[in-house]
Amino acid sequence: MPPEAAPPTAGLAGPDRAAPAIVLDGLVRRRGERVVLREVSVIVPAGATVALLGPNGAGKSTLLRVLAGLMRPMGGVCRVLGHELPDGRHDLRGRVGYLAHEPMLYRDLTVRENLAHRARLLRVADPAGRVRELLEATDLVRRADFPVHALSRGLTQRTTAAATLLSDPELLLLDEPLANLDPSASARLGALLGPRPAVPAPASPGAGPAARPARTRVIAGHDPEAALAESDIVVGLRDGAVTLLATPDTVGPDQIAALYA
Amino acid sequence: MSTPPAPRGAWTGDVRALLALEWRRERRAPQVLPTMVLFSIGVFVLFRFGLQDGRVDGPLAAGVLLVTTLLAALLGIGRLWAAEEDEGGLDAFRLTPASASALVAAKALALWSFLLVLHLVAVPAFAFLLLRDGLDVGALPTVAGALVLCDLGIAVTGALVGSIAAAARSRELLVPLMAVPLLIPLIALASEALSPVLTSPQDVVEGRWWTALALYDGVFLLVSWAVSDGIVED
Amino acid sequence: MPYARRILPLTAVTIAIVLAWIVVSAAVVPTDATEGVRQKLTYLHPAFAIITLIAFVAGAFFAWQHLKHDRPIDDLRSYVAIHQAQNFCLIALITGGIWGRAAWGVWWDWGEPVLVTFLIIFLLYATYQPMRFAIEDPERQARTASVFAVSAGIFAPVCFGVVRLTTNLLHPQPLDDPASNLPGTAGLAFGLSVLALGALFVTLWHLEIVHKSTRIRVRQLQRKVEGEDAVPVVARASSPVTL
Repeated sequence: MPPEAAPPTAGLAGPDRAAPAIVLDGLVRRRGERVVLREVSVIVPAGATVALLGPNGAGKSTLLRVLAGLMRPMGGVCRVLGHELPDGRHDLRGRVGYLAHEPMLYRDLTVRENLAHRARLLRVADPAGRVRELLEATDLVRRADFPVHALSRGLTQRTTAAATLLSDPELLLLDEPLANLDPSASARLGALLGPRPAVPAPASPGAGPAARPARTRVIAGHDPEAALAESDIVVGLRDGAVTLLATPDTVGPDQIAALYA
Repeated sequence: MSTPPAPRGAWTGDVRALLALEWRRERRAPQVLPTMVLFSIGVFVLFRFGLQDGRVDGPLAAGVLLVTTLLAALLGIGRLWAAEEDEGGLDAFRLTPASASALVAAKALALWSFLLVLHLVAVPAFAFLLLRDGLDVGALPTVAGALVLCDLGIAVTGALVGSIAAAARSRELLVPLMAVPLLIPLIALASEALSPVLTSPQDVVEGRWWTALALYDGVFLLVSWAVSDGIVED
Repeated sequence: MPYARRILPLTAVTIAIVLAWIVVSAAVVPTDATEGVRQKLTYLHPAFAIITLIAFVAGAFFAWQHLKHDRPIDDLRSYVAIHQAQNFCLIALITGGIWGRAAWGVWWDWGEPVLVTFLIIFLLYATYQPMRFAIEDPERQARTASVFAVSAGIFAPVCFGVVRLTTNLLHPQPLDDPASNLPGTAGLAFGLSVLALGALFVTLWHLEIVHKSTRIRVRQLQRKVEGEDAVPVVARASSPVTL
């Protein structure tokens, strides 16, 4: 790919154009003989929120898995947080949080054990402290010692969200994150998984909170209104191809209808 | 292979955490160990009747003990990767910086430890139920040595076979199909190492069987390590 | 597609070697006084066994390449090598039985390490297709099959060593024994048999690779003409590769 051939960014004038979080150019992924993602090209600036829309089977979950480094791209360019996939996928580990449909939790273990184990493998600095912090943030303290199989779907979803946030990832890939949640849990989790600006390095060491990059988010879902409300970029997938790429203020209801038609 | 350099001791730390997880899950919901123990004792009783109230010694004794171990191990191998596959633990693992070989090593160590615990119960039961002259105390180190090496081979091969079978729909059917041929040479070697001490009067085990057993274990350790990325990666 | 271009010359070479082999073993090598024509079967079994073992190891090599570089063509190479080797393995077992009958009067002999090893290897590789086609995701299927092929390919020679160690070598191993008093022409016939079956294997391997990739290409074109959903996906196949 010639480096000058910049893929479209929906005209977004982000401050971080120089260091985009995600660069996709002609990304292809097949499943056997079938093409699941065909030539997907998108640039996502660091700190932006992408709403990923499309009917069932359009390739949303596959795209999220590719971005998480769980599936290899089979063609085109796929650069995530500055690392070329698939070769750089090991460097992404711990920097990307992926909230999938499946809970990805051990059902016989308790909420706390699941989180502590994951934190340990993610090499979180203070695993016990971080787990406690997230249990409080997700309002799971009272259920912390329940085995996962005894939890309702909503509570399981909250546990999964806590597990996703353990390493405080820079890139969040969320597959219908607020499914199965009641309104109060939905609001709480929505805030927890919400956007977060970058914190610049303090003037002198120890003078303030440590520097951290802005949080980039890709959210797949079926609720166009909610998605438009919280996103900076809207990507519509249909049969594995990008058919809609725009900023939310320019997306009309007819475009959404066409996507799902 | 393509895993980035990890902090020193991270690999062993990961293996320890993953092994602890296996044992914690087994303690929380005991499945594999009780099944293997009960199955083994059931098979010993079965042999008692199948051999018409006969007692065994020599190669026959070694064969009965080892084949029973292998069959019991098949039950454990089938369950070894089930949680990763059914509960999505594999995806969760792949999002962490821990290396694939650490997971495979932890699985093999878990199965090895299960098999060793199994033998703590099964060998006395075997000596009591089936062995013609009981087990001599002097023979214990040899029996233990042969079983430790045999169990290691079963564990490493089992971790590999279990991971292959876990990806498939018919997991329970594939495990015995693949594991039995792969373990025939191991059982043959372990039988050669065991049968002299199960004979009365006892015989001396030839050194080459120990070497061969250790070599077999070593080869499969290398294979598992080499293909571990292929097992865990997508 | 170089694979297709190589088929014609390969076939010609294979035919030439096979003819030479038949002529040498039928006309040049003296017929054994006691065994008669049956003795000529001696040249079949070891050759099949040798090619089978090499083919399984080659399958493991391609599978290793597949795991390392993630190219679907390597999966196809490994798949076809194993598939052909399975057929060769079966023939090695059958000719081995015939050989045993000719040499020692028994169809099966547990003291013969080559035969016993090939039975074990055959049992192991017989699970390759059931294992492979029980995995639904095609990419995972290919990768898991490669893990299996690498493990089994390393296992095959190890198994031979162990079986050889644990069986009592009661029978003469005429072709391994340098002091054997076989006539020199018999050695030539044996060498030719290995060469002929090796050439046959390579030709068949090319043929199946080209056949499989052509089938995929046809389906691709059919999809283009009739639409994406007109052609159902084949579930029982290697990685879809068009050369």
